[in-house]
Amino acid sequence: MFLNRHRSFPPFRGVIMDILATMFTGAFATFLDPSILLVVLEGTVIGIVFGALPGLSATMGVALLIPLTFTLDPVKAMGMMLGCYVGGMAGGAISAALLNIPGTPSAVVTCLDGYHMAQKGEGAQALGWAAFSSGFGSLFSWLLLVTLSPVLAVLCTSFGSPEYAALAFFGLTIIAAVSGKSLLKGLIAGIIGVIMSFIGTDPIWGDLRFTFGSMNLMTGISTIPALIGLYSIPQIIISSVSKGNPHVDSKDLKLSAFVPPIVEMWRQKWNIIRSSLIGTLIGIIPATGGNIAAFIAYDQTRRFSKEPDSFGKGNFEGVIASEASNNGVCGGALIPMMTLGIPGDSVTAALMGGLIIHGLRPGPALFIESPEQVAGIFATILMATIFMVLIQCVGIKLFVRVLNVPIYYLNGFLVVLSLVGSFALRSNFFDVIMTLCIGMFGYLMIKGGFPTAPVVLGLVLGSMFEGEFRRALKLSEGSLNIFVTHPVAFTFIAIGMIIILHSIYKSWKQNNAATT
Amino acid sequence: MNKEQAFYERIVLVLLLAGTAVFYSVAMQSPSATEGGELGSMDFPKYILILLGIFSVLQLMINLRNAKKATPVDTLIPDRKIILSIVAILAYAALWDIVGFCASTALFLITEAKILKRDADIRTTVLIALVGTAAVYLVFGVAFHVYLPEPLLEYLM
Repeated sequence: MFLNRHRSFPPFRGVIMDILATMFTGAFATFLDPSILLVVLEGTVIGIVFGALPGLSATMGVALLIPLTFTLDPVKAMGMMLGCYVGGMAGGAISAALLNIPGTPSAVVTCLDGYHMAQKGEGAQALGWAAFSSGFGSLFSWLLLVTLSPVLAVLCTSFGSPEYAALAFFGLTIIAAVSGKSLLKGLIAGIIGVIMSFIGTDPIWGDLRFTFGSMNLMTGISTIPALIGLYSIPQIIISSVSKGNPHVDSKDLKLSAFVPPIVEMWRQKWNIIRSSLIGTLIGIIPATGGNIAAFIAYDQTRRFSKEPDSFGKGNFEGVIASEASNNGVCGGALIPMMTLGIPGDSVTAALMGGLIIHGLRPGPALFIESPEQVAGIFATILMATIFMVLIQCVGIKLFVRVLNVPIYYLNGFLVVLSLVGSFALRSNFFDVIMTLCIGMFGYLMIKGGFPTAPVVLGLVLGSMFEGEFRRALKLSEGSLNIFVTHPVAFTFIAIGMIIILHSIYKSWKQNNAATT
Repeated sequence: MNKEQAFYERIVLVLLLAGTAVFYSVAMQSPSATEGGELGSMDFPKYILILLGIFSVLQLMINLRNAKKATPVDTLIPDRKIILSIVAILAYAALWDIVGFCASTALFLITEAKILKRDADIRTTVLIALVGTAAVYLVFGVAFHVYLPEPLLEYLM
């Protein structure tokens, strides 16, 4: 695959066949080894728990597992960590759908429709669609990882500052899709997030910006405390006057309520494939992640849907888009990591550390020097995907019991988990203060009818957009033509402008209809 | 839109305008390194802050124009449970460093349950609070090695 075609090497075709044969036997042996199955299962369970609990994340889970896997062989060690990764990305949907509190940043979009489904008594269906969509997303990206990783890795290196800036701009235009009824309020919320991203260090010159003399603000506002503050705290405060969640009798809950009908899955095939592909492609690009993929996939699904106005009110298609894309990122992020040694996101950066500790050097030579272990690692991803869906099928009765916990006990525990979660990131009490301040402001925003999803989008994409935009201008000596002469960048910007114009037109039309 | 939402919208917009003014003044006073004609470190934030200011003023004008059309509500004062819950959450966070994580967590869980349901059974509530606190401490403090502040325990030991 990565061989240098030098005459002193054995015939190219013969070497490839040898590598493929070794990989096939390695994968087969992995599936038959019960000890590998067990560690992957453990990792997946840990991942789902980490993903479901607000404040914890897949990155944290993988980082915690690294020292625990020192004594294991490389395939088992990576299998456990990959299980945690796959489980973590899927687990965020559980708290997002049941409690409107995203367990992970990539589950923010699942809240938009998943929670409304749970409020209508369709919590099991929401979790079912989330689990199966996550499974399809992981499986799709796994197939691309196994078959096309060297080809797709080229995408990773073809992205420069203009492309990153254009992608971030395109991502920011999705604010229009998640603004709800008022585009202006959505824009205000998005700009709040962008301004929050300015706090800390300037990406080009290194100046301190808006730190107000605080050392804690030098590294900026972390996503986790902001996410907990925007989603968890306001939701807890608002639910303190609610009657509680709709009661679900888990004894009556059958698997058929959780498993989506095959007919409906077939009808949603294009949504699943499109969202999985978006997730995989976004995952390949370094420093992006499930969050961006979920927003883009959600926006695209809404545009192709026959009922776009039902999004944000309990449409399962939104849950499918979010979960298929954020789990599609799993395989996508592994492509540059394994083929080029470039991590696709923060979790794969931790996974890369795990690989190196176990004596496997990520990069082109990995496939040639250790084909059996690479095959074993690929096989563990497939195992983790299957386990992730099965665990959620088995655990559904336990998960929905959360809805039956009296609100006067549940709220207290959610506050504790939220504050501990934000503290656990850096063991810094300042993060707790930040969570509470953002939480109180988030509560006022929700009461005032402002959407909070754009704030997260602005926070995640703001610094990327500013940094890459300024770098691109530096490369072109101040000329904006650089965004025209790079076709990928131009495409993203053009699509983004169309989205903006379409949203303005739609908003104007709605206002006119309201006044007549 | 009802009067309550309009009221909170106005509060948010006023806070945003005040925040924009503060941030803009900080941006004007802060050194902004630059070279040649490139954007300085504070240039981009200034443009975005101006944009926020414009949008906030526009939304405030819409809010004031629609104020008369808003449907009335009984009261603008938040529910007693909301105010007490907010106070309890803030007090809980403040107490972490004074009485320690475990004591403040148990106290908070009991207080919050009683705020939300006055007639919640006290024995059940205390038991759930103690078991829950122990579970959280074991999972985070012991299993995940998160340092949870316990100043009282440290002082005694």
